[in-house]
Amino acid sequence: MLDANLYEEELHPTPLGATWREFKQRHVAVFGLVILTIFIIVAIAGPLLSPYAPTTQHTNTLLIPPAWDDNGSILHVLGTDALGRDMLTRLFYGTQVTLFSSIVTVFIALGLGVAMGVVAGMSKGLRSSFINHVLDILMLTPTLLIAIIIVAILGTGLTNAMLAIGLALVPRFVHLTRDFVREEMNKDYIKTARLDGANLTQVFLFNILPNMVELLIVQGTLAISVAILDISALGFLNLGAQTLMPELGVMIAEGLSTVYIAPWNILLPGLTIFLMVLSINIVGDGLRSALRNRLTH
Amino acid sequence: MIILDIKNLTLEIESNGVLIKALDKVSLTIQENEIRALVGESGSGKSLIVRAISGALPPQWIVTADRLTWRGQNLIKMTRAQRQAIMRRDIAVIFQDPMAALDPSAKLKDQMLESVPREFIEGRYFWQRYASRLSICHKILHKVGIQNVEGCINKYPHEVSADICQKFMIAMALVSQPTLLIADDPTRGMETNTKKQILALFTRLNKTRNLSILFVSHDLLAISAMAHSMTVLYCGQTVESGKMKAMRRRPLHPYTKALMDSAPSFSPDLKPKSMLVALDGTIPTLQHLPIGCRLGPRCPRAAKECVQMPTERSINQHTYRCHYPMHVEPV
Amino acid sequence: MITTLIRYFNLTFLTLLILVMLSFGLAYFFPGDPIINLMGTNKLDSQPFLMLSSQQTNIFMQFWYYVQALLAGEWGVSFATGKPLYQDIMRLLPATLELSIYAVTIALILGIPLGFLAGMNYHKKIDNIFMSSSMIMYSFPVFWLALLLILLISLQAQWLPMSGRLSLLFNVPHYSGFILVDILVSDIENKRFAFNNAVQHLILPTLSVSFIAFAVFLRATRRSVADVLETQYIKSAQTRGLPGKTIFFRHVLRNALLPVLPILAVQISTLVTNVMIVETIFSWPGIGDWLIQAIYERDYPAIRTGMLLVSVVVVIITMSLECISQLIDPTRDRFAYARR
Repeated sequence: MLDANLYEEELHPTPLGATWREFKQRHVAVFGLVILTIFIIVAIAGPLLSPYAPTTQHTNTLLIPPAWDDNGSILHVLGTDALGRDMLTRLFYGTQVTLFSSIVTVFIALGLGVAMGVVAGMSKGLRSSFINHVLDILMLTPTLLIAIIIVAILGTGLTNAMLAIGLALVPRFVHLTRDFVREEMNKDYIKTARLDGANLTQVFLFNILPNMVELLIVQGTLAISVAILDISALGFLNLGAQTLMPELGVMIAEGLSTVYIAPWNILLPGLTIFLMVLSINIVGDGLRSALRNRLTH
Repeated sequence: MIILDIKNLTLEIESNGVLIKALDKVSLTIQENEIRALVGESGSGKSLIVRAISGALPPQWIVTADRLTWRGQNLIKMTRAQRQAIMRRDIAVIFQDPMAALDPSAKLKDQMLESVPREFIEGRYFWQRYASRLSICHKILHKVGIQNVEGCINKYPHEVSADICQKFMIAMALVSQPTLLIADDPTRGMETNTKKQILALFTRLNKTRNLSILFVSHDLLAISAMAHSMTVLYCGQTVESGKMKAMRRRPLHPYTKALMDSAPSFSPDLKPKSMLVALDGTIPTLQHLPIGCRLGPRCPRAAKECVQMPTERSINQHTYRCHYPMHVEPV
Repeated sequence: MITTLIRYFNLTFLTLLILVMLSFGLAYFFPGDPIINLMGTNKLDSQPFLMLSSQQTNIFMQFWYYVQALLAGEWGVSFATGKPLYQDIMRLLPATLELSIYAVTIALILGIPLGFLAGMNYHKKIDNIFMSSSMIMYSFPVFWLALLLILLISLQAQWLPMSGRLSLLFNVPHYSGFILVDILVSDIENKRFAFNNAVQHLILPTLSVSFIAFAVFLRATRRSVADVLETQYIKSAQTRGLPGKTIFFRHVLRNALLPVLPILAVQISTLVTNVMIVETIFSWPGIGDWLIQAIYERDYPAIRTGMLLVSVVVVIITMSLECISQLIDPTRDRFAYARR
């Protein structure tokens, strides 16, 4: 009966564990994470599961409503569009295209932005202020304008749209990393490291970067949602992905012509975009709150 | 006459499903015209007492006390409005970091002017009232010892130095002519000169304005010169309480003695490389309180009896809580 | 204060200069002959363009003449319509400005007070309702939202019209370009009907744009208010016994609004993007719609000039906002671009 252990175990979770524990306590955030995981699984595995290809036109089944409607059929669970292409398949492929192109764009923008921000933050003087100034101009210009210019120079296409959105996202990351690095460089633990003999690269890699990772994850997640919105907007305006590609914005634009008789052609792709962005926002927001609160609980 | 009477104040909070007692049966009394020092290590709950008196505790804390009265009025049973009224006129609190306690986007003048209670302002029209407020503020700022009042008053908090900020906070606290001033470690981190000025100011205020002061600190050197009586707090419990002179001459509790000894004395006959006097160990966390006397694991005079919580006994208004007090024959 | 103004003036001037250089450089980046890209056709008879098109000038002189032409109002001719760009742009710009101003005003008037309400009731029920609804609101793709509004309100319920600024029955003379002002100033008959009609046309586009902006402002204000309420000076003011209303109006309000201003400045560029997209969907005759048509038709002079104009307007507004926030905020760290 006597407990041999006189002292209770003190629970000291790692920072990651503390963040996850904090995150778990907000049920909405976990719900968002579940939906996001579903989307990721759909994006990876969906195209493999669907029996149709996204571009085959079933000319004898044009504009069939979704299966729960009277005229719908179970062969095409979410209906077909004006050219007879199966909506569910197109949604799978569209999720894949939109999600992955956004993630790639954000990754590249993150890499570039962090590199430039670190250089700008660690150096002082004319070089950094000049970079800052040019990038601030870039940050002030509306994304659509940047996209228009790039399309005018390079032409349309998904890669050009990704380039434009990436260009628009880079200044945001540069600002973030530059402010963070500047603030950290004044702190005492960096001074200790430098007194120990570390050069700037080592200081960055071993001292600043681990503290920056969480911030980058949160901001990157939110940037992915912005990228999804922008890439699909460009697809809608036919400035990004073109009509041959099953991209969610393009699908909405194509569905516009038949909106009276077949509203599901715009409702369903739009709903997909909305749910994707919503889940990413919920997860990002939950992460941000978890990081903020993990020390105080 | 006793103005603040706290008896057996207990503060509990629920943490991870367990109810832990942050303050356990703390007792404190303040008479008129008295400077009482409240001494303890960090983590002993000094700031909690201040917040309990001023009513600034978040609602999760459970407050129980036999008596928590201000001039006979029970503070726990009062409504929020009544408590606020008392806080506005009779009790004033000064906090630790003066710069953080001031609004960074408002000039010092505006912050001072809005603290003046309405009863002191004369004049019917608003320019008369403004002038009267301004003159009251000027008088108090001079009294507090700020030399260049005109220059300082139009600046922002981050533009003046820390000691001027602290004097300014004291002035803001004094403008409502309180009866009790609670100073929560106001001289923390200050250099000795400014510390002396502030402490001299407190002594002067106590003598000339009948102001009682509750001085919370862990700087024994500073307060032993100034305080009339002292309460020592360890880990949420009062371990000793009494008149300053008596405690300095004959501390009854081992912890008080250790505190007194730990203040470095730069006497010339100190041997080189001699150890500084301190108790081993650290203050226990609230989740792992020792059973019985809380000083038990660290006390050099601990014995078998100490696994039971000692009751409070008193000799000549000198209360202590120990089974084996010093200078006293064991009961 | 004068130094801040001078510094911001310099900054704005530099930024505008860089933008004009970019716009000039685009003529070279766009496919086609640069001179034709700059002017629109290859025969124009105003002085700067003559100098431009002569063969002896090098690139710096060309830039100088380009600046002269811009300042003189000679913005070239559009590829598609052949008409001077200046007239087109000046006709369309007020429409975009009107839509943006109304959307921002509604978003601010609704967003900031509700943000205060949410922040003061931090983590209580009302705050949670606001947080969840605002998160849903700003996850909407703006073009999908506009289409949904058209579907539900214009097509299903037929309450509001779905395109244009004013029904074709009314003929309002051009006074300032702002349609509500024009209607009130002019003296056509049925003024009230025209006004109601214009307002009806305004509702859906403004709603689409302000929906998202409102959510962003609400969240930013709420976060700022929650942070301010946690600070030591608010707590010490409460301990001092200051009445709640005084604390709120004198301390919380100012300190909570000050960090929101930069967020507002950043939101302007997002707002302009959204306005442009909404203009396309609602066939609202503004700069956004015109620019997007121009890119479809590869109308390079139009794209260049339109881009320059929109960027200039955005930069001026953002810089003035930053300047104002720097001037009225005593606590902002006075670092900007030129910290050594």
